[in-house]
Amino acid sequence: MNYKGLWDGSPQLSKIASRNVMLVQLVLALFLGSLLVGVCAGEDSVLKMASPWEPKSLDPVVYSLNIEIAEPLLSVDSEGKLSPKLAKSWDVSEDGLTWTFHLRDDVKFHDGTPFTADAAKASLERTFRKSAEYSSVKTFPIESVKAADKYTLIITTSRPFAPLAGYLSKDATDILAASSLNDKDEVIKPVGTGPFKFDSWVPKESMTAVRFDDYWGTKAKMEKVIFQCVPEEKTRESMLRAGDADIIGTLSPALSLKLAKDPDFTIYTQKEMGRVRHILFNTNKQPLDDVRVRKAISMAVDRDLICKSLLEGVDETAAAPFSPDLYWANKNLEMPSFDPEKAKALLEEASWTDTDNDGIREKDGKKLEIALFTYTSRPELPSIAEALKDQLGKVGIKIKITILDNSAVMEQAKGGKVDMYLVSINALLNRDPDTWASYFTPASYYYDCMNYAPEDVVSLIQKGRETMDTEKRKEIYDQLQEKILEDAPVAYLTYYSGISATRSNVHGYELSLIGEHHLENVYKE
Amino acid sequence: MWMLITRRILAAILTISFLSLFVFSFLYLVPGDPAERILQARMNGELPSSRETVGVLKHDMGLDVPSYVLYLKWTEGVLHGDLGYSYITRRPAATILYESLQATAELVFVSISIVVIFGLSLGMLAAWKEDSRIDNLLSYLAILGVSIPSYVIAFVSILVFAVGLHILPVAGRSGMQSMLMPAVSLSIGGLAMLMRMTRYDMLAEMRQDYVLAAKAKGLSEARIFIKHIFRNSLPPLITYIGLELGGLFSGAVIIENVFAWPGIGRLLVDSVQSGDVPMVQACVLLIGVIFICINIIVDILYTYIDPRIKPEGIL
Repeated sequence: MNYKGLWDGSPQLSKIASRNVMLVQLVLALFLGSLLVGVCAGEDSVLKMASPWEPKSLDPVVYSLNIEIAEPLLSVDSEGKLSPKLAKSWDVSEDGLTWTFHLRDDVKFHDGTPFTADAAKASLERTFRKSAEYSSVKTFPIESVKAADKYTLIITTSRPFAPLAGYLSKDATDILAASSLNDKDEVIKPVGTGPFKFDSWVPKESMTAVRFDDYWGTKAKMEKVIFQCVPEEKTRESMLRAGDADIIGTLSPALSLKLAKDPDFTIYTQKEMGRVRHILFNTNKQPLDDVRVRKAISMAVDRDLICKSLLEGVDETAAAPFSPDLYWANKNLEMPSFDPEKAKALLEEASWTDTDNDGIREKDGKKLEIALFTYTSRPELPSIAEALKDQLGKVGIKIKITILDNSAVMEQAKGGKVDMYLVSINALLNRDPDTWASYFTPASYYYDCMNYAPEDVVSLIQKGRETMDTEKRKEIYDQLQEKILEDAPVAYLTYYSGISATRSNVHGYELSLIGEHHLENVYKE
Repeated sequence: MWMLITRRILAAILTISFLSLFVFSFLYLVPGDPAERILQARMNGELPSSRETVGVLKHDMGLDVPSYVLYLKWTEGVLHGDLGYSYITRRPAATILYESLQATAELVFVSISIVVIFGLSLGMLAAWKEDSRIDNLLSYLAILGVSIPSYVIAFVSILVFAVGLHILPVAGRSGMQSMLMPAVSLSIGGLAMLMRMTRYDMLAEMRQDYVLAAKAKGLSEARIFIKHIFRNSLPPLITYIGLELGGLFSGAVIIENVFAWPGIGRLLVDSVQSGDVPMVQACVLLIGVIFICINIIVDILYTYIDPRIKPEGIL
């Protein structure tokens, strides 16, 4: 088709003034006005929440339900230590092979059936069977799950395995009633013990839950909770402003600052337990095989500046894997501080000097050039990488940034091409410091990035897994943290905080340490 | 006619096979291990912690075979009417696809209706009142409509109608009201273009000799305008509408994300990001089939509206 002159006879663009934008709006308004059916109204007993989280499945083993429908045996307290939930207490036998969980006797499932050791056994057995496909559970040495009496559950393992307890606080081990399943072992409707009862699920869209009046703990104040999946942050913001959402989750620091200025909204910030942004160093390749260079890099990074400028002052700086408010943090460590002069001195000591005055240090005719890799699924990482490039440039280190998908970086790492890898990892993902420690073993997913698994570290890690007493374990992980700080196979940069915002008439909301939205105490004015 | 349809469908099957092969190889040729991507997606974006888990997953999902074997297995499944299972959620791909298709179909249907109804009628109005004030105004609007990206329209309308006036919900899929903003934002560009093309085609037709002949015969102007001029300018417009219908499916990707509309565009983007090969394949297959169906329908309409066009002539 020849549409030469299609726009002939149109007024010149230069004549189009901004008022014409209003004309478009006017036409839009006419369209919308003519089609408008009604006006939606909010109710005070319904809580609406929007987050980018998408309920991909009703099965907690497959995907976290993120809404308090079902509960696991254990939980974590404000220090990140394990605490009771459906189990009142638990103990481990001398040999570390038998775990006994004393269950609450006042708990009912949403279908009215009592929560007993038999029900917990059936649910956990399914979890262990199913999660084999999904996670590290397949490598757990679980031997059997037994119900000793009505409210006593016994789990035996083939070898002592302390990280098991942490795993029992994860959503994947939520206890579901038998009526949740169809005959193919699939969850058709999650029937749990939580303060909210599952009502409906529209895939990719929303999940609705209603109050469970027989809840064993504090009963929820809201009658109904609607979770909506809204991937676009701007849209979530608009929903909050328009009153279509009472709470919005997973906000960027920039948006939280903007909303904080408005008295109509309240911002909630909570450090996510264990998540830490850090650099992994390849310790068997020049120049990072020299611990002095690694330490110099750690000292040359101005963490404060990164947190204040890039992260809008929301996140806190990190020098160790666990933030100081967590139980597992070694509070006696002397943390590296920002000291570019000392960093330069260390580099000089390692005989990296700038002989040709081009701003980049050399040694034996080789430039101090380092390949830094990172990925985009956490959007702040590439800009942090840029900041690192700038800051390390000031002490004479040239950084080349490559941004790839994580799995592509790992492939590069296998070929030894990755010097530094900037990552954001949850070091307490399984609610146990073993998640963090296991990075420093040859079985680690990151081994190719670090090539760091000295024998003494590996045996400490093994000891940590086999020691059941929490205080003794703490000593082991304190030792490990000291050792890692000394060897510097990683440099910790910042922690990560989850941010939510509510309308100011919403009270009692709590964003937990493990990123859960606690809605049971929420009420609206 | 049937000959045309058969040939078209054969060509379509070939096209879709190439397309699926292309998409499949694309997902496997990008650097990195698909199993790692899947694991990451299953763990809600968390990176895996041990190599063992990656190996276990690979084996459990049958990914530890060469990729061409995977492709052949997938093709075999499709031929048996089985689109496979999502790697991430383990739900049947066909079910997930069906849920998303409903949402997108609704959105696209309303959008294309807006495009056709308003595009054609306003275009006719502009041609009828050539060079009048209304024609000039519509020209302004058409330029704006074509040049403003749909997501800008989307966000501006959210600000005005949801945040400002509180008369429409910001996002989600809950009845007619929630459909308005996404459908309108999605259709403005196509509407403006169609309006302009209608005006152009009709003006070109108006200058044909048969119009003069019809006038000489004493037919009323309105009758000539609708029955002759409009009908004769339809074929190229129908082609455009067909193309636009396809375009709406792709434009829906952005709009669905902005308005949290649970459609196929969002599904496709999600699946590509998480390396969910069976879902990507299923989406591509479906979109391919939709495009081809639209084309066949356009061709048939063509011959119906303008009998001078022979089916053979099209291929």
